[in-house]
Amino acid sequence: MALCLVAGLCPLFVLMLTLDAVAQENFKETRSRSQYVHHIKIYDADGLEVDPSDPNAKPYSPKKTCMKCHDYKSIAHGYHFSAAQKAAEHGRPGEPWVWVDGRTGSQIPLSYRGWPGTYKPQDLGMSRFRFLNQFARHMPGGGVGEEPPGLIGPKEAAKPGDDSKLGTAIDAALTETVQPPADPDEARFKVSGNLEIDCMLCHSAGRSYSHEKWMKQIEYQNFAWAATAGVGLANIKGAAKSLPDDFDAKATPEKAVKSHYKKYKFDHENQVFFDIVRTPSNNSCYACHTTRMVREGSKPKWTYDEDVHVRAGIGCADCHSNGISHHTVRGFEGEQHPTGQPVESLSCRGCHYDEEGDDGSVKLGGRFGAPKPLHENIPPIHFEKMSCTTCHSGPSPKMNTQWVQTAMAHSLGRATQSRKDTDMPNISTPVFIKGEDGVTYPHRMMWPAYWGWMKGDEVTPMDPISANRTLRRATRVLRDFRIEMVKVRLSTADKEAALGKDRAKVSSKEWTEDEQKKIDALTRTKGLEEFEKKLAKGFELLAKGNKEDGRVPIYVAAGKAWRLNAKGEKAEEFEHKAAEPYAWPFAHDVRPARQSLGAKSCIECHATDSLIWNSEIVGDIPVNGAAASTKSMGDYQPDDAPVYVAMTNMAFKFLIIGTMAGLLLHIAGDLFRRALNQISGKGP
Amino acid sequence: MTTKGKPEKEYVKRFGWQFRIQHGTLALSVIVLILTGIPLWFNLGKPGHIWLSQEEFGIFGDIEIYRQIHKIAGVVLTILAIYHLLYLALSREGRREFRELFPRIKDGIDLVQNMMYFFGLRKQRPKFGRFTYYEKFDYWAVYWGVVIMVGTGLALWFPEVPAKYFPWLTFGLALEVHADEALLAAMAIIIWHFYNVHYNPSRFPGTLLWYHGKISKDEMMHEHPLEFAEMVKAEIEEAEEEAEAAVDEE
Repeated sequence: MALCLVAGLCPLFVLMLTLDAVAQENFKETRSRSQYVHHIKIYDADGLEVDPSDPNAKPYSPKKTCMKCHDYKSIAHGYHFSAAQKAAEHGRPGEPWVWVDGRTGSQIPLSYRGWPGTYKPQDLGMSRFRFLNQFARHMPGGGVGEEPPGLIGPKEAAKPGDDSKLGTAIDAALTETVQPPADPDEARFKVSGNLEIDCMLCHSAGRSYSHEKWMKQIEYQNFAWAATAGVGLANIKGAAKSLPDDFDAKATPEKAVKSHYKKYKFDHENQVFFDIVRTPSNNSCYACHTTRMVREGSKPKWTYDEDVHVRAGIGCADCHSNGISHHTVRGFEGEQHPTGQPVESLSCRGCHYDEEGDDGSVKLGGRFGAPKPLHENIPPIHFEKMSCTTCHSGPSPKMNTQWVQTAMAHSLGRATQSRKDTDMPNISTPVFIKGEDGVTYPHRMMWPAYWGWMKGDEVTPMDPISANRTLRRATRVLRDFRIEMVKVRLSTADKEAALGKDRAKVSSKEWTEDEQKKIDALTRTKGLEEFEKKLAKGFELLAKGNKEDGRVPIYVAAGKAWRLNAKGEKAEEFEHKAAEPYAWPFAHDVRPARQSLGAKSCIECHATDSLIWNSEIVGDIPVNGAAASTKSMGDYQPDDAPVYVAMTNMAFKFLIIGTMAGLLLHIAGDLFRRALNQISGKGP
Repeated sequence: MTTKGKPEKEYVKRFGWQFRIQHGTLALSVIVLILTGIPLWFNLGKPGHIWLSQEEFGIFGDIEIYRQIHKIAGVVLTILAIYHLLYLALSREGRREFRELFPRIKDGIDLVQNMMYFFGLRKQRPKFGRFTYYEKFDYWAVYWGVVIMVGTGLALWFPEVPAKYFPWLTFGLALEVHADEALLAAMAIIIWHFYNVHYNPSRFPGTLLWYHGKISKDEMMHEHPLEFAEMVKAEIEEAEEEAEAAVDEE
């Protein structure tokens, strides 16, 4: 029996080894430091060679083209593509996608990664198709662009340094998929095509890759054509957006989206020159990771240097690097790399210090020529309680936190004439927050705002688009919730009440500064009344259409929540944890050492009015003039003094009470006896 | 006899100039420390729910000035403490006073007997020597107080030093202890010490003993009968010796 079993398994084992060997041989490698020059043929999504002279040629498929030599399946599980994979390591919270809707005053932090404080798009009824249509403008493709969320990732990581094995592990794991929920938008992918990973979006060497063309194709729902347009191989005509779900390109080819290949890009063997770099340039990273400061008081870009590391010639990918698995190192302390490869040498301390491991071994720092900081006269407790970034990164703290616009949240990189500093969402920075590890990190922070349902204590945001269908009859907002919800016209009676009959009649240009202030205050008061009235009406309409028992409509914004009061007459404000802001740590830009926090003196922080404790963070309010909840930076750095400090303090309290009680009793006794002596005539 | 018919009080020396200057310096520095410490205390929010920002505090002047004066007074107190130790070690007067101030079993007995007297369980007060037990308490409380206040004050002034050498003495701990001990010291001085030397009915509205260093024989007989007895005994012995010497000369 056992013999039969062995005899049966042996061929299977041999077959597995052979398949594994074949799988590895599929990928060509030069093993040279020199970079390979890519004169290659390109293939469409069906795996067929692209013929540029064919008027109906399909767009080139990065997947089918690049996977001839590269392990696409491994790459597809890299950090930039694994957000929706269940078993992927997502690490500490990062920047979310923000679903902004100006008509409903919504700004909802979204992430497939499940970071606390963010919402998964599917939980808000946002299909992956709609997600891509809205956010793939700043994505490199892959992930939900190719498959529905919820796929199970690799069961076990490859051994350290063995990136090539990872693809096989993932390949096996990919067979265990969960059935995605039925999604009517899935049909759209037949028209738009899949959004594959666009390798050239990051690895293009020259400056010819057009991110804007990529964005435009995403907007047109031409997902499959975005890579071809971005790299400039063809001009794309048509938009999948205007085609029906059941569009058949074979039946009506004249209506299909067309790729007009630029023939001069192809040689006589139909090969194309792809100008590729192994390590992406900073410019590629900036396409999706740019920031700009916007709040009053922020310095113009030309008056200060960029990140000191960039200035010193270090590129983004030097620290945020990866192997073929594309598990990009994020660079925070304690990061666990999925390959098991130690990555501490790519953190601040890893480069700038020699780190002693648990086993007593010393890992030498100094990568990229990093100098060892002296940190003279700074007590070591600072390095236990604060991250390097607290003192060295981001803008210096000011009395009011600054606002930062990012590529992901504000679509920086898109050329437009309508960009404003006040564009939603307002992201505050730097906000110093003490993490669960007791270490303070600088964060960026945004305040969620949305219409939603509350059942018991549980709050679920509403999809802003469907919310608006009901709400627009109540709020009458056409474009900007922040302005239109509080828009009022003061009546003559109102003006007379504020300024008196005579002055109310004169032109507003003739009002004194004081009179203008009175009118502004009145406008604000009336505006807030209008806001609450419209909220109440919105709640009523939503409640009418409610099909689920026990839930009530609410509006969340700026750290507060509103609902209809018990009598159902007007909107009332209340506190709820769902209104808490979402914050994520950041590390860039790194300032020069002389501009770091504490470089001037200890009292930059050790003072009663120091900004790292007292800087104000005002809740981002989608309604102009309404009082937002205000937090102080100290609120996010709770005192976690050791127990012995509290005990010593308590002991002193008892000492004060005990000693003073004893002394007072002594005085009382003395006075008592003196009184007795006085009464008995013995003198004082 | 007296100028206005009242018998003129006879005074004896109780404290020398050294003692008085040290007491005066101590009193002055502590009063300044209390007066400048209160605004700092409010500014740090130590009283609990009261917190005055530097802007709100502005009407009383720049908090930084209070801080600087507080530091100067602290330095004066520190120098005085060091001087006092040298005085105790190097001067005859200092050594004698220290011996007198050293706690003894009799002080415990005096405390119990005084309590019994307060509550009518004894007819007479205990007989005190040069220093009563509560005067000794005052003296030794200053030792404790100065060590705590100067230690934590320096830790607040130079936080990097304890952070480097005694990490357990955190800024927060030093701040709590400094504020707590200051509260205890201020209350003990204003309520307890001032009662004993100024407010109590036999001394009200106060004594100038701290200024001229003299005590009346009556007061001494009442407050320090044992010392008085020793003084009288010494005077008699001295008188006898003088008389014997005079006889010898004759």
